Amino acid sequence: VRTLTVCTEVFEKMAELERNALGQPDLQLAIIGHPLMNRDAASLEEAVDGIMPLIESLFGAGREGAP
Amino acid sequence: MTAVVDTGTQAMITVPDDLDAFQEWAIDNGWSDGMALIPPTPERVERMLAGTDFARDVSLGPVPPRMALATVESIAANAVMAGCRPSAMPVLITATEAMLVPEVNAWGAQATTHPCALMVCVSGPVTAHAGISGGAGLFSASLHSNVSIGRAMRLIQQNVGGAYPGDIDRATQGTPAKISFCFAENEEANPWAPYRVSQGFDAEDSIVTVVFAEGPHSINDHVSKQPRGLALIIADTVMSLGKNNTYVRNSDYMIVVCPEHAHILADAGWDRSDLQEYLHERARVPYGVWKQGGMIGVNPMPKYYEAADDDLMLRISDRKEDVHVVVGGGPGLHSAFIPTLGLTRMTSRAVTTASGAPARF
Repeated sequence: VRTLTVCTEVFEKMAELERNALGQPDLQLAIIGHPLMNRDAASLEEAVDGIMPLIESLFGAGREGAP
Repeated sequence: MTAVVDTGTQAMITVPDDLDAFQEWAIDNGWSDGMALIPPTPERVERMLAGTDFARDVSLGPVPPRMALATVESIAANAVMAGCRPSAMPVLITATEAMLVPEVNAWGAQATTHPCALMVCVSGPVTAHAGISGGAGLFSASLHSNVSIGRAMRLIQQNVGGAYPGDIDRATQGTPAKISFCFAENEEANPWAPYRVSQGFDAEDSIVTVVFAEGPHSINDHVSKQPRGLALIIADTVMSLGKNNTYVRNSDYMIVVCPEHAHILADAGWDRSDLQEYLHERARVPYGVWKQGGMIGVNPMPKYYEAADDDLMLRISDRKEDVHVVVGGGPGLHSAFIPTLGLTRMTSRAVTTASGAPARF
């Protein structure tokens, strides 16, 4: 199952530690800027835009098994 | 000097022989909690292991997020570093077992921005065996077993679980309770049944209760002579808006009632369950104030909140059993409120022998 974990930059190291500890070193991480709370809609959209290429490459149309 | 380390793999590594140099090495390699450590040499670890009948290679499970195994040996190595006596081992093993129960949520607590520490509350005969105090200054410095056992649990979280502050442990500010947070029930001064009995254990059992919690907050009442005033002061201390228990449903918290407060209640005929029921009913926050800010709405709320008017008083607890009451402390009239991470549950485990039988001390 294709899987992507989204986290903010301050939790990137923890995410790397966990994926390795759980035997999933190839799990994709999408890292966005910190903090996430209190962002307005435009700022959130900007953050999402930044990781969209990674999301599209993993889940986008044309990929085998993509919805 | 050779020390037993990498607590996940039980590898032996060589560290500086000089004690001062060892401290610098420990700081540089992320083993230190900021204070001097005792080097966990094989000889010292062996002496620590004499405090338990569990085999050294028994694993209590992986400690998140690093997921290295908490073996009896790695617990002993961290106990040595923290300055524990071997008699601490039964409590340390049980506390580690309880910490790894999923509902305690070590996964979240080890990396959260919230200032929570592993609270370790001990009830029963093992407190005398391990020398854990439930009397005067039970949360304070200088009580060797309280401090060193709490410290060892923190070292296990850091050195086995990988929760180093500012790195994996992302606490915004943290809390001094992260250094050490272990205490006992004051059974001699307790007018009620022991806490462990209230949790369904036998009086002869010893239990260790853990939860990821904030440090204790004082409840000062030198005036009330009757439950009416005293219980209200306790409830009012619980009724703050900024703590996690306010917005996380299905969470629990602890009140450590000092003996003199407990006797005011007991002399008026109150049992532990009466205080639990009172706090469940009385400790509420006004919707009209809460809705102006804070964490309201961050987590799923009960449906009836949609019909709330400003005067509606919202409960902190979902059941009276979510209010844990332990008697602790010495002379004086200060009790304590221990809020939690919210996304964690107070969890008790009986101290056992390696065979699984309840340990007797």
